[in-house]
Amino acid sequence: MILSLENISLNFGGIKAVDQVSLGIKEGEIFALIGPNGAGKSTMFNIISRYYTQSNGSIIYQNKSIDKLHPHQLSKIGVARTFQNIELFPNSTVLQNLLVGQNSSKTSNFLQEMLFLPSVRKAEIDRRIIVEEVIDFLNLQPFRDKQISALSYGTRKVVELGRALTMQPHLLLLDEPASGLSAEETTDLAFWIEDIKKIMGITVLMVEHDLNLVGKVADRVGALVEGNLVAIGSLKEIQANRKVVEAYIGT
Amino acid sequence: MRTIFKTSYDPDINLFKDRFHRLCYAALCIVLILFPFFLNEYFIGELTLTLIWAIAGMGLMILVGQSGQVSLGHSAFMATGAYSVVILQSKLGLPFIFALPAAGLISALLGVLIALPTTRLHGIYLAILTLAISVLVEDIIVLAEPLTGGVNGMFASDIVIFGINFGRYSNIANLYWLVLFTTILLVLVYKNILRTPIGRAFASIRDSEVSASAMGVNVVLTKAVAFGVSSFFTGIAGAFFGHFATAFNYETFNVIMSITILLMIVVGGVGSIHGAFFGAIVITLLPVLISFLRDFIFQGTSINLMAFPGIETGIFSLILILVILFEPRGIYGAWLKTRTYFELFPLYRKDMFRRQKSYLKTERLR
Repeated sequence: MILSLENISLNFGGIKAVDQVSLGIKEGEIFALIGPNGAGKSTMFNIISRYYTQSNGSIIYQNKSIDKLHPHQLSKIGVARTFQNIELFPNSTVLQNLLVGQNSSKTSNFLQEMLFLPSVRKAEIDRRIIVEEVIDFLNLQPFRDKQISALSYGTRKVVELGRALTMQPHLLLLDEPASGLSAEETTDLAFWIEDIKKIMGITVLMVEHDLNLVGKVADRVGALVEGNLVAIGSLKEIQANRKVVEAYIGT
Repeated sequence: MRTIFKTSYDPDINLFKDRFHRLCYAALCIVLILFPFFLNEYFIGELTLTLIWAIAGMGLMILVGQSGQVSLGHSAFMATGAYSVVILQSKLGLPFIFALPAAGLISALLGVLIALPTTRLHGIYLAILTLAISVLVEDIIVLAEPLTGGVNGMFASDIVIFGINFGRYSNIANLYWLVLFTTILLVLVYKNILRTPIGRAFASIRDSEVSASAMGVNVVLTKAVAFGVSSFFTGIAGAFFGHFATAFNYETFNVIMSITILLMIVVGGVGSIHGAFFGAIVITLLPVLISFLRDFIFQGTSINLMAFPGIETGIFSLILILVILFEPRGIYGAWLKTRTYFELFPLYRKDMFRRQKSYLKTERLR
């Protein structure tokens, strides 16, 4: 298990957003969380990436508890995430956005950078090589020097995926990667996610509404309903599950 | 239109885009160095002041333009720099060459001390807090009379480095070259910030704190560094300002000065080094221009505009309003548009620089 959640609960006032969820993500798999709106999927994500602190339970990543970490410390241990509503840096170019992903692995401090020592230049080139690999992988060449504010929604989604990849994570958290994408863009995304698993060996945990995409890429699927994890299995098993059907369609 | 053919990553990292670019800046430097040989002392003095303002402007630009925090209290850092450099020289006997960086560091320390408890504050709240701090610093200066001379203020003696005099009234050309040299060094530091991870960390907290922390940027630490670097620059500017003014007291560094620095970078163009310089040129050139105009009008029509005080403040305010209404990117933005127009002629489109609405942002995590 690369990530295990043990009895995670989170209350907002009287509302139980997440209720006693236990879940294990295996190394090298693609796990998709599905569920109707307001089921607590994004809340789960924000708990794992430490923006929220759970009221109960603990998160174990690579055999260590990460309950006490701050969001910015996760990148150092190899967890990267994307956001449901794109959170890029709109006043910078695609290249600069992707380079930020490499910030956490820098070895120089700000004084060395202000003096631009030769080691800083070398590190810059190393960072650039990693970023260029990601640009190549996601076909972002035409947009390399474009400002984010000049890009279409679909391209921004891809850039955000790229920015997470430049962090060279072990575990990638994708929050609704296909929302707002066209059918064609979603197909591309499915190939990319598969390649991220097969070629880069990254474990992927995603929240997704598009069941076509989930069916194509996910190894296992978990269904969240009103903060409870009601079923885990293949997409077929989940779709046959009574509780899941009830939650989506009603009784 | 020039196209640059790149065969390595170095051209993207280098300070200058290409040889033409490098040549332009070399020429600018040479002209600046040669100025004292064909200008009279009054204009060299004005030029020196422009450069000092530009350093202060770069200081605030790092904070506002690069890391997206507001400060209405940068006069406090100017004051810290000016008082520190004089006190270090007169009371501790430090030579100027050490007192100057030390004054910058003391300002930087003050900046970090202010930043650490206030990193949760944004926008208008941070502005009010920094405003309060600048008022507080004024009071502290008056109260710390044995050190600062209280309401009477201080006299800054001539700068002397290795026996060479850099006095405001005895050797203005020397002072000008010293300030120019420091300015060039600080511009290089600023450029280095922009092309290394620290600058990208600044930009990331400016644009989205949530995703900055997801990228591994320590938001609190980065804000403190931004404040520190910003107040270091401003402290250096203050140190030179004190020596340039030769005499100053707590009233020299009032709220109006903070607002002047802010006005400078807004008029010049927020977010660019050029903007700090354009802004500095505007605020030092404008009073000169107004006084010329006043004389001209007086001679022609015998209307004495001296009878209307506050005309400078009025014109400043008018310029600020016009810039915000018609060119929010400031003078540098206007220059960029003009240059693009000619580079792409006849393909320039009017909406090329239009700011696009950003898509929905995750605000609820704040």
